Amino acid sequence: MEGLSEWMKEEGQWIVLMGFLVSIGIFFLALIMNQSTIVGQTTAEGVLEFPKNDVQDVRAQILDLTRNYSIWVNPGPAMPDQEAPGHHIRMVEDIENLTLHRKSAIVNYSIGEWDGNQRIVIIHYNNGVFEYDESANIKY
Amino acid sequence: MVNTEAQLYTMEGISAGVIMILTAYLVLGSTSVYTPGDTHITDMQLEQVGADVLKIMDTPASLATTSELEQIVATGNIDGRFHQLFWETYLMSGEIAAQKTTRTGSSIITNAMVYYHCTIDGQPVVKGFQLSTPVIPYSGSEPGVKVTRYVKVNGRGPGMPLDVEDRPQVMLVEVFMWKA
Repeated sequence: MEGLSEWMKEEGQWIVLMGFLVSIGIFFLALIMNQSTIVGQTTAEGVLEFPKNDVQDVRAQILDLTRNYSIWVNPGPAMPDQEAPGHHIRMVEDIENLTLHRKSAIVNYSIGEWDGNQRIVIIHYNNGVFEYDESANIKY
Repeated sequence: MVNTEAQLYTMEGISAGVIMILTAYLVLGSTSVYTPGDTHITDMQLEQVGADVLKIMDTPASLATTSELEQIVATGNIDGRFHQLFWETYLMSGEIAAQKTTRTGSSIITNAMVYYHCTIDGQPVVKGFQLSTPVIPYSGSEPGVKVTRYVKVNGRGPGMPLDVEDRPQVMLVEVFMWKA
């Protein structure tokens, strides 16, 4: 390489170096831009595929039924529009069967004894991808 | 004749070329092209809007009344009010702007069913009845979304099928929406 031009050693080397630095900088900026759309898309999809509405709906319906749970089954404060115990058991089956047949999800819940202060409701939801478990205190 | 004068220029040219090609590749790759496989993104927006509409309909105006959706389901939609309320009053209203979630901005077609659970010959069965019929039949190829809402009813309403058990029960309102 001794034949390389002498002027380049003196004048051109820093231009070549700066060129490399700038192009490497552009390269990394492009890499970030390239990933940003994919990151945004997968995040948005993950948020939207989460069965938020299903879980909220099942949960609200179960807690609503629990609040109207009959004192005939478990002693506890009566509510004005409470259901007879047989009806309540059938409504539990309604939710479980409708969710299984129409939503392909398994819902199971159990309502605990009234301990004079509160009742504990245990809710399970599983649609094969997402699982939700909750124990809620109902205090009327 | 050939000498070593230009070797550094050649090396610089090759490395610069590689960097430029890589950069162009990344920049071009970062623009997204909307393909048919991406329609589920707008579909999911439509699904959220539909779920919100059902939630609005299932919210009572006051503590003393039941919600519009409960009233409609309780009568078995005998006056055919569901479609007008769901589609015209809420889904297509200017505030909700569901049309903007569609790719073409064209019309959204809905097919609404109510599913109920009953016992036939000792077996649990889930059956349904129509809440509203679509204005254009579903061809089977449009991407569609389904939104649901549980509704509690007190007994068999006038517009319901005869095998609906006359007891307090939970029914499932299911609205299938697609773009025509």
